Amino acid sequence: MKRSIRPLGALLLCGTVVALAACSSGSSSSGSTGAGSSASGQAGGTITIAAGTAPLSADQGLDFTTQGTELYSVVNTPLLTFARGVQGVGGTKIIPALAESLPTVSNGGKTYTFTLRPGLHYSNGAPIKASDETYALERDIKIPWQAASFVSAYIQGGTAYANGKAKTISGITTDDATGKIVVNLVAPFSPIVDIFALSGTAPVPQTTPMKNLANTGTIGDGPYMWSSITPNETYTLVKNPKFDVPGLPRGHANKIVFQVNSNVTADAEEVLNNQADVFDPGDTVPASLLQQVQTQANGRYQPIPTNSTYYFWFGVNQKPFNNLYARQAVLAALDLRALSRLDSGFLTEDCHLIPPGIIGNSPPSSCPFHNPDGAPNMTLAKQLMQKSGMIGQPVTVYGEERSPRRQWLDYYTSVLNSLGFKATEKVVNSSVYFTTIGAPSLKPQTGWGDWVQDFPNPWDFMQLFAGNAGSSLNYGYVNDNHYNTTLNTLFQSAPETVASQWSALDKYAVSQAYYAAFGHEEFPKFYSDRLNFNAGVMSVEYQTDLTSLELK
Amino acid sequence: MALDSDDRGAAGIVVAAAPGDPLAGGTHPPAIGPWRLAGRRLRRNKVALTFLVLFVIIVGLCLLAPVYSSYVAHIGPNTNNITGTVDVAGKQQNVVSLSGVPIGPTWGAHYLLGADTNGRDLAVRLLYGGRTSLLIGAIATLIIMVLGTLVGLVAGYFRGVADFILRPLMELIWSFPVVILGVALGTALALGGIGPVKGNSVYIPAFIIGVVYIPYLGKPIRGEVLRLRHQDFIDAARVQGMGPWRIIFSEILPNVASTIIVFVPLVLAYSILLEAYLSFLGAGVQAPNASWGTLISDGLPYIQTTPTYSLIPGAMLVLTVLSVNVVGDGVRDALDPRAQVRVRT
Amino acid sequence: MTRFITRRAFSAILLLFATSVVVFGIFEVIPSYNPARAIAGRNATATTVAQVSEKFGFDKPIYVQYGNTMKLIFTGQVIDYSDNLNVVDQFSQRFPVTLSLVVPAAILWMLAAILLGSLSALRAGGLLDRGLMVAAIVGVSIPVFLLAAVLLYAFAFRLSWFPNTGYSPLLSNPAQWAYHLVLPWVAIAALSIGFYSRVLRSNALDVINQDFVRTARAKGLSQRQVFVRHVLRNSLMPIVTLFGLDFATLLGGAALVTETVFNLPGIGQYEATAIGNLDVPPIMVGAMFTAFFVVLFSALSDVVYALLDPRIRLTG
Repeated sequence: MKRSIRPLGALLLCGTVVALAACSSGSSSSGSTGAGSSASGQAGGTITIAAGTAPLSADQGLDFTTQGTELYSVVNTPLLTFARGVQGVGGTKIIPALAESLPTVSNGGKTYTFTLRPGLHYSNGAPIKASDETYALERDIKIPWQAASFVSAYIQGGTAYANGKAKTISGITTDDATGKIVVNLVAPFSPIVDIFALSGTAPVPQTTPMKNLANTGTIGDGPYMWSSITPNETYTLVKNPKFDVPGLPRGHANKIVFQVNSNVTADAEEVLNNQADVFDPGDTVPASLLQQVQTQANGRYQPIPTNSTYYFWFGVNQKPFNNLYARQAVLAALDLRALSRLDSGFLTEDCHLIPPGIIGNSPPSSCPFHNPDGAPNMTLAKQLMQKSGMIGQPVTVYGEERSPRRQWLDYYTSVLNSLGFKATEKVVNSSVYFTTIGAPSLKPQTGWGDWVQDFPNPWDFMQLFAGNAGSSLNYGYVNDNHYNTTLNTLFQSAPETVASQWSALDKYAVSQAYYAAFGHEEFPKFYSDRLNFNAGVMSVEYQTDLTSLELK
Repeated sequence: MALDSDDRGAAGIVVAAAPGDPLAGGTHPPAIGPWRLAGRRLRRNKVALTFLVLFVIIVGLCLLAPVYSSYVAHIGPNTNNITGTVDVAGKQQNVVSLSGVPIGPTWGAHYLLGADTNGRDLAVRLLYGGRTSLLIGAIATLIIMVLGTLVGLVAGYFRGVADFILRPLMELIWSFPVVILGVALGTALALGGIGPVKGNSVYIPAFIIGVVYIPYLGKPIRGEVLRLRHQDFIDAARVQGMGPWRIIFSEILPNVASTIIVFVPLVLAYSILLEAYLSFLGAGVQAPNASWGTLISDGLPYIQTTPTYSLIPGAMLVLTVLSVNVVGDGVRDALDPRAQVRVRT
Repeated sequence: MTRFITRRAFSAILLLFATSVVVFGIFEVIPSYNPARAIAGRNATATTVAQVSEKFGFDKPIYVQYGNTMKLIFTGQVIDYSDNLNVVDQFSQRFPVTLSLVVPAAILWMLAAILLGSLSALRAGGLLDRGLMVAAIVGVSIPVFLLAAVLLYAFAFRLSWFPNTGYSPLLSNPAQWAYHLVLPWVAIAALSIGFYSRVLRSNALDVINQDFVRTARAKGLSQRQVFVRHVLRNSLMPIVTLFGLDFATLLGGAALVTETVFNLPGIGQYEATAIGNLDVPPIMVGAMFTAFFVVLFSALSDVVYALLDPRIRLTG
């Protein structure tokens, strides 16, 4: 899951920051702001982004945050990429980038063969070689990349390299003369194509040091390149004149400046007053300004759902949530509108795990217990509680202290109490929250969880409840045979081909109440009036698609 | 803020000498004991008495929190009501707006002072929170008074090894940045609890505040004891064969009693303030419980739209601490009208 | 004098050592505290976590970890866990901001206190005197964060006389720098002015009644001359001592909260964020930094005290 660094929510006078991953536009709302419908805008110019949170590093070999991806994805083009210029589910389509075409799969799904396009160059003019790809992946493991486990866990020889037992990743063989890159996997894993579309796997020159280059970033073959970086303050990109990958957008602006100011209210005011061009979607428009933004910036402000899901999980091996009716009662009693208000309204209510911007999503209307947009079904909930026999059971509810998670925890605990449980909440500091609830010795009864996509594949979300996912992901230790076997079958195929089965699996899990998902975070698409709002794209993967930004 | 007291002289504290009192001391009226005299002076101090009444009213209100909650507001302090509505001047309004902004004061029985983001009644939480803040302050004060006196007595009387350990320990605690120490401890303990005490117990912030302020009392008591132990009456007691503990409790303690009494309101005021600091920074009272500090902190993001959310708990906090301070001044005045601000190194 | 310095230096070192041990110890007590996992990220496998653990040395015994951290701190190489930044660099970058906040505020309150305290001593019992009494006691009853929030609300949001938080560097534009800091200065100074004026007032009144002052008047010096040359000089000592300790604790307390409310990028804000993230290196450095200042200022005020009063000898 992509990480985002957040300031101390409880202290900041001005607004809270809930920074999450890439986004899509919900299938229902994507119609209105179709991307690519640019009135002819001008090329060139400088565009500024006002952001409250800095990336962890400008170096894609370390960073896997949403803020970082927004930036270095236009610098370091990988072998494959997600389609740009498209808002919504269309933006999850994987297309070839540095590779000539999508990889050929052989050896029962364990071998993927790419061919590097000939004649490509980095922004410094050096030619791109196939062996640079191996170097980049080794660099990811060495630094380590926050998502290094994608490389070490799935590619043969990755673990041995990570443990220092091998000099190179044995599962990858390349031929610089032909440009062939052959990747052998530990086991068949079709989402590996998504991984090769992440900027962290983009090739880098073999002279690039294997350490975090936070002050300079790295060299790539993208539409933009780094001009200057002051870590945690300013990140400046300029057009890369040597960009030579065919079929990918070149971008309009000449210069893009990502300016960090942790005072999110000031950032929002700057965009409101047209002193900055883009309000970074990783931040939340502060409550105090929201009204003003909605009225004054009408026509250049729109919340767009992202590929992230918030949910409450249940410990299914002990009381009270080992009982199906007890779990279902919770789903019937949760008022998703309340949870949305606690998030300042930036929530697309939904009981399903797979977000609307990922193939395999289900319409919110198919929620079994009550309409997510409407009132909960307390009568049904009370009946289910009676059937369960769990009234009066003590429950400890876990949650984080940051806003609005703490408020969600307060609400959830009060719902459990109204159902008849004896619920007490336990607030855990966000830096130790996931290690606390994931500790094998704890066996927690219920609590809050979230997941932000690593890449837009339904498996990325559904794997959280696999029987073998481990307590650090599957906090409730859900272990359902039907679920496990279906999951293992489905992920072998490309998601488009089994979309309805993914949706069915999601609905199955909801009917079994293995999770009480409550919604997907919405990110603000908020521009100054210098920019062509409809041309700008909030991408599934890249958030603000920098190549789509253009001045009017 | 640190009001230092040295370890060689009497406690140096702020004193507002009542205006009009002669600053050079006069003679004591004969034939009335010093305590009754102090009581009489206190009774004549109208300002202190007024604030004492105010303090008692505040405490009373907070203790009546359950009554208010059941009979007036009809809602508990932790009952969420996010999607509910409330009748304001005939119209039904959202308790919490669709974009999460809580309603301001309705001045009615329900949501008298407004709501918080979870739709909870602020007036109810204000009273319950007051209870919590005052309880923590009281427990901390007890800890400080008992342990601080003990530490001061032992270090001052026995000197030697005891003093060798206690004095630098007090210096360490005293020099440690209070806020960082308090917040670090608070955060750490809130996560794991300590021994059998659970992480969200009120005893944890009380304990932290207690520990942090022990030197505040310990150092001046130690100083006084150092002064006293050389005096004749102590030698006399020793010669009579009294054991050291007996000397401490029957001879020395009564002589530092007035210092101790003067410190009680001061310590209480500081404890309540520090609890607010800790809760404001998230290291004190834990959710969903309220204290004045947490209410102020929760209300800050809404200070533009709903200033009452932060400012009313803030006002309560200030009034309470102010009352305690004024009463404390009055007590100091009563016990020693010649007392002035004096700080020596 | 040398004995004084050596004794003070020795106790300073002990204090810093003790502070660092305490802070380090507090965080080791937390169950599930695993900075390796926090650094590695949520979807890190056990291998990545183990790698990070090894790299940072979290798998070693506690005293070894403590030793390593202290070594990193004193060689200026210690990195924080949340953002991967050099802690010492961050402190040196942010310290000027905190100084900008704290020093002018301190000057403001001291000057105001001396002025107001003197005036109220000269007119004991008058309106100013009584007003200051009220101000003193009210000032001690208000927590800084509340005053800061109220000032922010009233003067920045409501009246818009001052900007809504943020910091403007001194060198680029002194006027803007001051403009952004006025409210924070007032927040810090307001709470202490009353108290300090009262201290000065009481001490001044004490001195005024002494023989040598009467002698000076009898010699024909004007009231003002007498006051400034004799009374003031002798009554400054107590507030100097008080000030020393207050200023040092200000760095570790009020500054932290004020910087947070006004969003000033000083060391206080950094420490507050670190505490929220359970990020031990900045907290350790911050605690030691503040403790160091406490010792420094207490020693300094002793020295000033001795300078002001030749009867006092520094005995350490």
